[in-house]
Amino acid sequence: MDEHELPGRQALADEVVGAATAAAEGLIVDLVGPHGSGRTSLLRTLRARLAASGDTLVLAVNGAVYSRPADADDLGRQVEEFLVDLVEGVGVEEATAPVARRRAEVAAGAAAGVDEVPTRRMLSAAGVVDDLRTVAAGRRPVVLVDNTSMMPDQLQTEAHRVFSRLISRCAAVVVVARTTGAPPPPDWIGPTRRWSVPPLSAAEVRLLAAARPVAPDERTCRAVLRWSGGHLAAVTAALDLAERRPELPADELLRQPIPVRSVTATLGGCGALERTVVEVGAVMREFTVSDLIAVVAVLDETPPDDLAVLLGRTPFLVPGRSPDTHSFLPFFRDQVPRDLRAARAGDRDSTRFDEINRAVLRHYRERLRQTLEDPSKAYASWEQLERSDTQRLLLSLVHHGGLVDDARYARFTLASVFFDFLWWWAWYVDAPFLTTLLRAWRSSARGPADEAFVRQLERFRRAYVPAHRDAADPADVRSARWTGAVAALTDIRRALDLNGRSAPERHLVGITTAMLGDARRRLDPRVDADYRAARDAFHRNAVAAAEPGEQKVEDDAWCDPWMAFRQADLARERDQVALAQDLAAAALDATASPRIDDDDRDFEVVANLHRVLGDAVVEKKPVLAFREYLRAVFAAYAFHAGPQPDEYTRTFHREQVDAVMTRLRALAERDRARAVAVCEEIVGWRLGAGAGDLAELLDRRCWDELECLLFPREPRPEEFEVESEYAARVRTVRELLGPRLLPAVPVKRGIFGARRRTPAEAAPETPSIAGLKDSAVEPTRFAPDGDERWPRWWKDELVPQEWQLELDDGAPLTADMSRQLREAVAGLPPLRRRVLELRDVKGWTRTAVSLELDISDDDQLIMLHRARAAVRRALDRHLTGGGPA
Amino acid sequence: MNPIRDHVSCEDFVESVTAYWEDRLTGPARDRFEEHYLVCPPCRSYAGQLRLTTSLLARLEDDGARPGPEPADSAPPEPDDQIRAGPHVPAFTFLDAGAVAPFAGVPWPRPDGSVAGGWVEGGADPWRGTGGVSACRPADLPYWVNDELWRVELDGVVHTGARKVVARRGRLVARVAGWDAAARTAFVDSCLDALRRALVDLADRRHPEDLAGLLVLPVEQVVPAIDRLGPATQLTAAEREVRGYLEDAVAYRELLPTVAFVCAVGCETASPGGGNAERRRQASWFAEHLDLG
Repeated sequence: MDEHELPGRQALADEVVGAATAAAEGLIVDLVGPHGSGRTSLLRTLRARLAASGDTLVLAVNGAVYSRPADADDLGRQVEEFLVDLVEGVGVEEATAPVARRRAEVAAGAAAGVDEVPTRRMLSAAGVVDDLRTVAAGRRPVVLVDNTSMMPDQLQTEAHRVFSRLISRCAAVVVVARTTGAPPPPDWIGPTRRWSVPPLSAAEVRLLAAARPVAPDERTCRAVLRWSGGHLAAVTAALDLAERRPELPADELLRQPIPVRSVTATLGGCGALERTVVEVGAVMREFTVSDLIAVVAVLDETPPDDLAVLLGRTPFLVPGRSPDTHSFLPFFRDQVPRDLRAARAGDRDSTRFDEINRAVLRHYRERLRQTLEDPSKAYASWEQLERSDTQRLLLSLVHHGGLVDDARYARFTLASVFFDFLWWWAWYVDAPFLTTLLRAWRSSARGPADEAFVRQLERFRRAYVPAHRDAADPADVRSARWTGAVAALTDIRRALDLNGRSAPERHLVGITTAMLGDARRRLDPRVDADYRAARDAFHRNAVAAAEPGEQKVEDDAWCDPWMAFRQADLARERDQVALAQDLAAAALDATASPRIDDDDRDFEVVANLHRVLGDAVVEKKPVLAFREYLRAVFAAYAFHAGPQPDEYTRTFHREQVDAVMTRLRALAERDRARAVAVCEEIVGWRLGAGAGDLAELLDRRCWDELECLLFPREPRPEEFEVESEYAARVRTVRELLGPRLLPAVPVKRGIFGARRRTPAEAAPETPSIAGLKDSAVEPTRFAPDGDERWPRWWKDELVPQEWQLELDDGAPLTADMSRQLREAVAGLPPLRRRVLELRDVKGWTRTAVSLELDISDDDQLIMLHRARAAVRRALDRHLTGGGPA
Repeated sequence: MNPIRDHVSCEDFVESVTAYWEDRLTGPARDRFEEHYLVCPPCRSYAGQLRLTTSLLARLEDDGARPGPEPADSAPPEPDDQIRAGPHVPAFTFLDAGAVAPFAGVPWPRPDGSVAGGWVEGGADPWRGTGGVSACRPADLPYWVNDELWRVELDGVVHTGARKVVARRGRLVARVAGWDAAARTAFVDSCLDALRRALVDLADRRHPEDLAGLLVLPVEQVVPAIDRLGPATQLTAAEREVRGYLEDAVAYRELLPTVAFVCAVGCETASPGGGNAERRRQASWFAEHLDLG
């Protein structure tokens, strides 16, 4: 017996069908009813009745099939899918046709090892309507849309467009079903009628209870009806199993596998649930009963009350089975409502939610791990797991892991999932995935969950070492894994942005740093032979990081300096100059001590410490401070010259140089004579491109050029390995810089990464210099940043003017033009002029110029850009007759 | 936050020209740079002046006697290489009048009757900078809209970006005949209409009775009509911005890429997500009105 067979429902169906048949101009029927009121069944009735009423073409779409898109690309695909479903759904009886098709596609894709369903042809709304008109051949289209509110907003807009055209061009009837709480459809065009679908009355429930063997009592029956449609089917599938195997005790029953195929077969029309089962099933191949319950429970965006009802009153509570013998059920039945109440009452720190989350997630993880490791399963080896499969699965776990809508718990869950999977599947964790996780995490509040997070990390740490001791992956897989791990951990370190000084956060830095160090070490072919030693060293470090109070190991060289750096930096911010100096100097002594092998030295923290030391004294003793800054640049250089020169180390080196230049600019504003003195001293060390008229460059504010003269450029890849002339020069200067030890260059290994400092944090902003600065075009020619419509676009009256220039191809330049150009070039600062002459006048290649002038490609680009812009400005003045130039 | 800030500003553009020429802009940054180049005539002229400057400098050394840059290799069309279904990937490209590539400034070899034009070869590393030949999928068309629309064939590995595809080499197959002066006008009108509708929808919630008439006016009269509405219809800041974009779009209606861009920005200002929706609408306009099949 279905809901619509109840007398009240029958009348409602009659009324709707009558109105739809009578509407000559087309009609929108808006069916509004709460969960469990039987909207879906009503739609089914309407479909049968309207199809039977003569000249109609019935189309059915289920909004639940179209989940929320993650980005614009997804949205495009959603819209396409929707339009295709509309067209392909023509004439079919069941709204589940798209679901069946997609299921077949997923199965075919999995069989062929393809991770994406094939891309479909591009469709437009107009094209669909035309297609439909052709197919309808004069009949009247009736579109039934269930679960409208589950469609993404943009998709609703697209659907709206199609439906409006259908109504206006074919006098179609569109029936939209939604829950009471869902927002009304966007401004549909056309006549609209709305019916409320009332909740089932007690009498109706009794009627149904009598008709349904699955419902042993009224309470259960009501609970089941709440989850009518697909949910009911899912639960029924589980129940069928229970009835087939009555000898099983309840907890055994929960562990019984249900083939995915049988689950999906009963889930027709319940899009989101069915899709997730297919996705999870693609990896797991089978489901247990408790998996099913968990999926049903967490998938629905369910109000907590309803969730409690579902979990507490599933049909497993059949008479004759004692609920008390059952471990899973009481947990949900008793704890969940209590915790929900507690959470609502403001007790936000209830740890029971963590347990719930963990229980569900642990279960999944265990199952996934077993599946992956069992060679008899479909994925015989790890390599066969498609990257996108795994990520999709991970993300859906992350998504579903949050049972409650509380950012803090979400944060915890995300972190726990992330770290668990990191060590199983390090090479699957890429930047977008991390970004998703970390954004959610960082948006959340700080509090007790942080402690829980650190506990989780420690668990991870414990698991980390033993797991890899037994790693039997082929070498290339291992290498890929560690490359992924290094990238992931570097991202974490950056994203954490750890300003906090709480104990859990310090631990977090320690552990992440240790993991990063370890991962980098493993990637280095030179230490591969010494794998065991490296691993043991890592393990000691990790122990020391997590338990700082406990016994320290001798070579615990990385944790303390980082703490000291943060404390010194804090002291400096608070103007406790002496304390900052003491802390930084002591940490430097420990870190830069000759006792430590260069291989183990953390040049990143050394650079940071030198910079703090410089910052502490820069007001009073600028020359001294700049010696420290120079050491910081050196250490950054050594860091970058380590075994893993990558974008991170490159950026770090760049940032150190920038930080020093920013401070030099500030000093130049304050005290020109001192700045010149500082520059002369640095040039005396002969690190950079050579001598020049420093005072002139300072006065003209040619900062890029100064930088080239003062500091060593970024090392070139080939200089990392061989004993180059450049390295020898840098080493000589090192001795000049004493007394504190500085690293030999190039070094063999740099291990650690550091959080990036934002520019604002790195140095106080220099006072702005009026006029051109180093811009290609005067900033005054652009609209201000606060402009309403065109911020920083050209002001209308100041756009570039047409040049009055007659040019014959190949003809020599006129004497006047030649003179203009030469004057413009001669007016450039020396290094800029050299770059421009070689590149543009003589036509040298980029590489040749970099080698000739001994500057980096980046510097060359900046020089060339500035020089060209300056020459253009000069020509502009000349060729536009002194207009705005 | 005004959505225009998501795009490259002129002030950013003039600082990136050299980096673009040196192939130091890649991926989305390159796309955004090229988008700005297309939509902003003053910046086009700035870049032209900068290029002229470098060519003048090159002639300084030896007063014009030095040969220019070596011409790009372009293999002559193979005699039996007819247009036919084959392994080449079909796509589209918008070109300046005369089949000139808008960024490189060089003309593509045109097809001769049913024989496709000669291959335009990219460098060894197609995805990086100027190394490859760029083309559009149908959905990308609105971002690169220009005077002439051509069917192209791509060969070799085709890299797909967010707004374009890039291949090792490509050649022109045929001009899309439907993209003529009338179609261009119709396209511009559809963009202006969309922006007008976005503006009216935005303002509609507060005073529908004043604004209903705006939908039927010729589009260039809409802004004056709004301005005549009087103090009772005080515009909000957002409405004022969209009104301004509409005014700009009407003023730039001769400049295809600019008007399409301004309308998208205006729609985004009117409602978040409206810009992308407008770009999709523009894409579907092409699909509906031109034979792209």
